[in-house]
This record gives sequence, structure tokens and C-alpha cells, in this order.
Amino acid sequence: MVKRFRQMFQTTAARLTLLYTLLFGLLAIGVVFYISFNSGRILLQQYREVVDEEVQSIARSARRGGVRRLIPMIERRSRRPGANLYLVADPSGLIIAGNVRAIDSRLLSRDGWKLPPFPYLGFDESDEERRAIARVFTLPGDLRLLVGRDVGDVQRFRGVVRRASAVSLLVMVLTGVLLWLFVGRRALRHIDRVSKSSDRIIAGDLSERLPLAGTGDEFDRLSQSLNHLLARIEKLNVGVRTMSDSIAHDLRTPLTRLRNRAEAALGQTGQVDQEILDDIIADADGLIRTFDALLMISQVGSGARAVDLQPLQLAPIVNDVHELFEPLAQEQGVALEVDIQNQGTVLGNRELLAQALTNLIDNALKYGGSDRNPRITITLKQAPKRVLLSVADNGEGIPEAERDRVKERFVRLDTSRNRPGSGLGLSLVEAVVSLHGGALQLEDNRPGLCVVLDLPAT
Amino acid sequence: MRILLVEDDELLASQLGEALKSSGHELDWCADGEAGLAAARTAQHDVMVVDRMLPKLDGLAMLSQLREESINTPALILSALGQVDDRVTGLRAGGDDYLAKPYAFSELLARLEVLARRSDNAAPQTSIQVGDLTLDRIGHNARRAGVEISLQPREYRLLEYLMRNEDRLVTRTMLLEHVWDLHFDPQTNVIDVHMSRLRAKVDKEFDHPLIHTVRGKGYRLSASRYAD
Repeated sequence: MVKRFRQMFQTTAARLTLLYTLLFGLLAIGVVFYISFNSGRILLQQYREVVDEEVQSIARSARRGGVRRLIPMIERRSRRPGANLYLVADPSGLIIAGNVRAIDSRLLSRDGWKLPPFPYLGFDESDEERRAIARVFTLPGDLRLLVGRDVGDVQRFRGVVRRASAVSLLVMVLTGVLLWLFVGRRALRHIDRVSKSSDRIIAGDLSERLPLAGTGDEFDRLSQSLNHLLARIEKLNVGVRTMSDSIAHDLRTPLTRLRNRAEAALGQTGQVDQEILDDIIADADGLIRTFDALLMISQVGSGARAVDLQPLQLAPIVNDVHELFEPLAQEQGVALEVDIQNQGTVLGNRELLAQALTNLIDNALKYGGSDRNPRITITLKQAPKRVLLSVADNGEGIPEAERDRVKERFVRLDTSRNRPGSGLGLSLVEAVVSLHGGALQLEDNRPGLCVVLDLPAT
Repeated sequence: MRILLVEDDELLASQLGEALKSSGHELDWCADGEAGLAAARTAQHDVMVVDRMLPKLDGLAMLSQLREESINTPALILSALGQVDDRVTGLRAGGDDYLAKPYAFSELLARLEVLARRSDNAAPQTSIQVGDLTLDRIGHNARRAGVEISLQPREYRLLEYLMRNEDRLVTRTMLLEHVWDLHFDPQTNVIDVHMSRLRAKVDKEFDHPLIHTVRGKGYRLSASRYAD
């Protein structure tokens, strides 16, 4: 439980809630105190103005009518409801008239404002001590006049304001804490669900996905991106697994063949048959070639970092490779034609592009054969910001449903199973194309297959 | 041929040593880059084989150092890395040829013989003669027994490479590298078709062939009659 509270305090939402509550509370306290202080001050100011006026009017009457008229006037004013405080005393401090019963006599010794509120006793029933501010004035005949005002109202007003703000502050803090509990628990619940899913994923279930609350909030958005990430990882993982399965499966056959040949050679007495040894070497070479191709695909696939790309023209490469394959095509009765419509400047690696083109022509010669007038056309043309290099044959083609599959490593269609090849040629082409930032497209040549390398032009 | 081998794998080195000795060559072996550097400084080898990854001093650094000291013994770099740009970086560091592991022994030997030969006839000749076949390197044509043989540009380069390496085994990948400047294994018999075209021009009309097939390995151009 304690741990849970600590966790809740550690959530961002809870911390923010708490911080806001604290800040807003302090601000509110400040505002309330400012208002109460100022309104009290204004009230006191008003009191002082009233007292000043009265002191002056009383002093005027005293000068005109003398002390005889003064005493009844003070008595009269004292009896008014809600009256100010009045007091007339002789120089010794003895109270002669007014509505004040007792006061510290030292207050009367000097003229002027007695400002910090002082205690006094009035004539009402209760004996409670009250507080007032007052002004002392010396009348002719050395009598002392005190006119003042009870400040109980101001103090009560301030008290009310303070109590009210204390109560509202308490309410606010309670609301804040409740809000914090709610928000923090909600956030934690969400996080808990996510971390439970993560634990299952870490345990090996890559098909698990993080739960979505469906509110589209920031947690959902984060979970969604993580889910995309997981989908990608899962796809790569499946790819790696499929590939190691394929490697194991596809290398088993030539390895078995090699082993059987070695066994046959071992069984021969006397001179070992040269032909068997040649075959063994050929088998080993085939295996090495397959590994080389795999290594190359993985290196090309690992990105541009490993390979030096330079601006170059595709046309000379096309001509070189065409020239290399032309005699072989002719021997097989295939017309190998070139249609170069522009120079095809790309940012690329000559070796890799030449090898990709070699693989495509090799594929076309092996699998793209037609019974009537077999023909392979290499086309180099420009599209907006693209260079399109294609190798097209007029053979059987590849059914649309199979076109994506043949790009995968070791995939060989049933129709080509009994012909030589590793099933890696097109995978390497695809790796080379994506290294160059392009796309590999397999299209219908009606009849036949047209493989297009769609590369970005420079 | 005296060969310096700088290779840290002892088993591989001893296999190579056996094979080279049985082919009539002499081998000095160093197991790390510093020993290799010291041995190469004596400059008494016809050719050296340098592994890229070596203890103490790696192969490329060792070669750069040697080239700086103007020791120009031809060097073949061996690499197990198989990086796409390995060959380029190897040649830049001062290597003369490059071979990725795993390799066929016959391929290595063929390349070493070509490399060793390159160093002793540095001066270019205007014509090459093998038996009754003459290659005119200025006119870019060939004659055999006084009969003019018309050659396509690529056929000329093919024949030139074979003649320059008279009596030596030349593999298909070596031909692809030197004649087409392509450095990969085409995995098809494209080279064989080119060779058979060349043979039709050079050998067909004459009583004994100059171009010989070395089964499973490559070709050899020679005036003497081989029992292949």
C-alpha cells in the first residue's frame, strides 16, 4: 500500500496535479489577504476622516459656546445609535462626559492620533474589552477631548475573510488530493496494463500487443507507436526464422550429396577416381557460392553505411553486361537486345548494379525461355526523377500471386525446382535496389516477366 | 617463386605451405603483422599473401607502411570479412590483388603467379609472341602463322591477358576482373562462351591448339603441348 502511494506520487500526472494545487492555493491565499488588508485599510481611512471632521466641529462649538455648551452636546452625540466614541476629561484624566467608561489615562496626555487600536470599556451591559482608534484634542480650559471609533467591525471583517479563505483552501487541498488520487490511479492502472503486456512480450510472446483504452489520449498514442514497433520486430523475427529454416533445408541437400561422394571415394581401393574428387570440389564451391550470396545480401541489406555510392551512369554498365552475356544468349538461341534511351545517372555502386543486372539476365536466360523466338530486352529509360532499368523476357512469366514471394530468399517456384540455382538471385537484386533507395517491381510483360529496377535519379 | 605468407591461422598456413611446396614454391610464414613487416623489409620475396585481420598490426596497416618505405613486393590481400568495399580499401592500402575467404587453392596460386610475373616485366612491350601467334599491341590485332586474325575489342583484351600470362593458369574470375572489370562470380558459363569464340578464331584453323582448358580451374595459353 505504501509502495503503491509512492508509485502514485511518482506519476507525472499526480505530480503535476499536486504542483498546480499548491501553486493555485498560494496564489489564492495571497489574493484573499491582499483584499482583506486593503478593504480594512480603506475602512480605517474613512473612520479617520469622520473623526477629524467631528473633532473640528466640536472644537468650533467649544470656542463659541464654552464648556457649558460642550458637555450637553457630547452627551447628546454619545447617545445616538451606532455613535462614535466621545470622551471629555480634565487634565488629571478624570472623565467628565462621554460614552467611554474606562481608558488608559496616558492616552489623553498628548494630542493627536492614537492609532494602533487600543483597549477601552464602553457603557453597554457586557464588561468585555473593546478596541478603538481615536484622536485627542486639547480644548480651552485645558480639557481633553477624545473622539474615536470602535474598530471591532474591521477586525470582525478580517476574521471572516480569513476563516473563509482557510475553509476554501482546505476544500481546495482536499479536492486536489482527491484529483491526484484519481488521476494517479488511472495513470498507474494504464501503465500497469502496459507493463504486464511488456512482460509477456519479453517472455517471448512477440504476437502480444499493448492494450489501448480507446480514448486516443497520449497513452494510447504511445501504445500505438510501440505496437507498430512490435509488428515490425515480429516481422523481422519471422524473417530471420524463415531464413534460418531455409538455409538449413536448402543446404542439407548439397551437403548430403557432398558427403555421399566423399564416402564413395573412400570406398574405392587403389587410385581414387578423379571425377569423384572434381564433383566434391564442385559441390563445395556451390556451397561457398551460396554462403557468399547470403553474406552479400545481408551486407547490402545492412544499409548504405557499408557501401560506397558514387554518381555514375547506368548506360555503360548495361553495355558491358550486355556484351558479357551476348555470346551466351546467342548460343542458347535467345535474342538479347538493348534499348538505351538515356544515360541513367544515379548515385550507385557499379559492382552491385552490374551484379544485379547479371542476376536478372541470368534468371531470364534460365527461366524466361520461350519456345518461339525467345527474346530478352534490357531497357534503360528516364521517368520524372527516376531511372528505370528493366529486363523483360517473353517466357512463361510469374503468376501475379507469386510475384512478391519470389523476392524472398531461397524461394523457388515449383516450375523451376529442377533447374540449377540457389533461389538467392532476386533477393540480392532486391537488396541492391533498396540500398540505392529504389524499388524492385515485377510486372507482366504479356507474355513473360518484366523486372523493373526503379532507381532515384541524380 | 618465394612467397611470404602473413596469416595468423596456423592450420591454414600449414595447409597452404604444403600445397605451395608441392607446386615447387618456397614459403616464409609470419603469424602477425609486425613479424610480417620485418620479413617483408628484407625484400627477398617474389610475392606476399597478407591476411587482413592480424594480431599486433593489421594487414592493411602493414601494407601501407611497406609502401611508404617503397617496398613494392606484389601483395595479395586475403579477407574473411567479405565486405562489399573490401577490395577497394585493400587496393587503396597498397594491395595488388584481393581474394575473399573461402577461396580455391588453385585460384590463389594462379593469382600469385600472375602477380609475381607482373613485377619482373614492368616495361610494356609493343608486341607479344607465343609460338606462332603474335599480338600487335599498337595495331590491336593478332597474326598466327602469318594469317591475320580479326578480333573484337573484348576478344583482343581477352587474348592479350592470356598471352601476357603465357604458360600460367588463368581462372574465370581473373578474366572477368581484368577484361570486364567486374569483381564477382557470375555463376554461369558466360566466360566459357567468350573463350570458345576466341578459340574458334585462334585455334580452329591451325594444327595444334594454343588455348588449353584446365578442368575445373580455368584456362592456360601455351605453345607447348600439355596433357591436360
